[in-house]
Amino acid sequence: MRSVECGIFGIVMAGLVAALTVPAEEPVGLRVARELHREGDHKSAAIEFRRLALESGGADAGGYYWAAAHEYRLGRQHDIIGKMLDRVEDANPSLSNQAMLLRGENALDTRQFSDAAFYFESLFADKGADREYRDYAGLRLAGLHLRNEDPAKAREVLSAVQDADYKQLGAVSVYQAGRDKSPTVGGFLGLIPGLGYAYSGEYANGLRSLILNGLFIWGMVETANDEQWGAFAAIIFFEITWYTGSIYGGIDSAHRYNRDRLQEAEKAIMGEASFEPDYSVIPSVTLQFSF
Amino acid sequence: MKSVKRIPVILAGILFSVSAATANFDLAVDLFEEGDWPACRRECLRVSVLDPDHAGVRLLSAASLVQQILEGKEVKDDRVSSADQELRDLAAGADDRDISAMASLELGRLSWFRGDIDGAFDELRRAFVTAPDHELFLRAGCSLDLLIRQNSALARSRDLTGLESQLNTCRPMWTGGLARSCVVDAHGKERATSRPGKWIVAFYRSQVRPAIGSRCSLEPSCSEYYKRASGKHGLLGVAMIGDRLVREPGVVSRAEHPVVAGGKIHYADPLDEHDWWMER
Repeated sequence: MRSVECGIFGIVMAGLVAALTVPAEEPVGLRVARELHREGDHKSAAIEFRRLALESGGADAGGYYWAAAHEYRLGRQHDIIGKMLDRVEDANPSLSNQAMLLRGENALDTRQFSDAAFYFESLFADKGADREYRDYAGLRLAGLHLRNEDPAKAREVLSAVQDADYKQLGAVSVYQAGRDKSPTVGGFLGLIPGLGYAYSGEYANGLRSLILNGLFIWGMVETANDEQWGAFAAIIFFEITWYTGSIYGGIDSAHRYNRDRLQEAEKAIMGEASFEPDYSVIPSVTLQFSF
Repeated sequence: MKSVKRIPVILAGILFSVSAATANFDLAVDLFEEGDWPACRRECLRVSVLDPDHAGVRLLSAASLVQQILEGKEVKDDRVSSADQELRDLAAGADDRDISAMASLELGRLSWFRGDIDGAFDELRRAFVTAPDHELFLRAGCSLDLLIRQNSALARSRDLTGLESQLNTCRPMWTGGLARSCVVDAHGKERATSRPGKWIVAFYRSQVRPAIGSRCSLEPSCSEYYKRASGKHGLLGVAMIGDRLVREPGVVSRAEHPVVAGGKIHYADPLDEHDWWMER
């Protein structure tokens, strides 16, 4: 009888030890969130991460909220990211650098360039932050200085970034040597069909606009000479579209030209720089940078 | 003995259910505040599986559906009827006065949208008079005031003495943002100058496109682009579609941003790529 009791006691103890030593299985929600992320359903993944944050509470919630913010960014739901990142900092202040980085990226995505400069500058100037965070922020900041038409500051920041080489500095010089197109001039030139497009280097669009406007103006003249006012009204309706389109295109193509020139320089400055969170260790937030 | 053994399992189940229901409810409230109505309804469904009598969830679910309807989304009639009934039950029988008043407010907005002005007036007045929460009180008052101003017949058919003085008293507390969020417009908000654009697109889609087929290689299609452009910028949409039609072959030949739409490869050329500079 005694040996039976000892046996039961031994089995119970062995079970307890096994339960305490075997690592806790990760929550089902986390696996679901990862799977949704892999499938590209970022909005649903974000909601799963938020559920995990609410269920777990404490510092872990910070990591889950950060992952939710990252998913919302991938899903281009920029308006909710700030709210998620506020919660990250409330739940786990030690994730402030990760939150700052995502705030900067989100501000860039939403074209809030002065906000983006503030976040990246704060991160770049933080001597306590990891070198990789500071370097990434520095590259972004250099691009933002260029956007702000301050190439000297862009060079100054790049010189403090580890591994920044002649390619990045060369991109600043190339951008500085080029010239922007004036949207006002583009609009005025657009009064002559197609010339606005040509001003910004879009010669094929310019030629198409010229041909279309030429044909319809010719049609208007012919129908007016023949006093065919019904056909004249139909043709003028389309001609208004082509003609106003030429003016609008002159303005828009100049803006496009300037934007593309800047984006090219920013792309050259960033090079291969990017970061990815390691979802296998969530709720701890570990970013893997590549430069 | 068997039932005793099951107690820890049941307890764990209850504890898990309570914590999960709380987390899901908090999430549903968050999603409601963010205006993600379908996701909010899904979370409400999760909570209601665990706790079918949760009045807050019933209200949130019905209110999300009302918001979808007010935004012009297509909702099946039977779901509208069930949301309507849910709100009526909550307005009449909820123990919590906040929930009862909010149900009246949502019911009033739904009735307003459906053109039942008398029903809307009754519900909004009930919400205004009974709301214990200050924010809810302001919202109900502002909605009621807008309803009365938009429907002058109410002043003749209803006794508004007393009510008008109450509304006048709280009017200074209504902000522009509150007033905008309280407006219910069955026809949707649109510029007067955008209407011809909508008519042209409707004519093209019903009379021309069936004959010639869908020919645009861009996403959104040219008719949709024009509809959005004229909705956002009024008559400037004419110039924007003129520019789009000239650029189309160039965008297709560059083939930079392919997207699959309707089983065919199209090329992305969204409106915000061509009007972002207006918003700077």
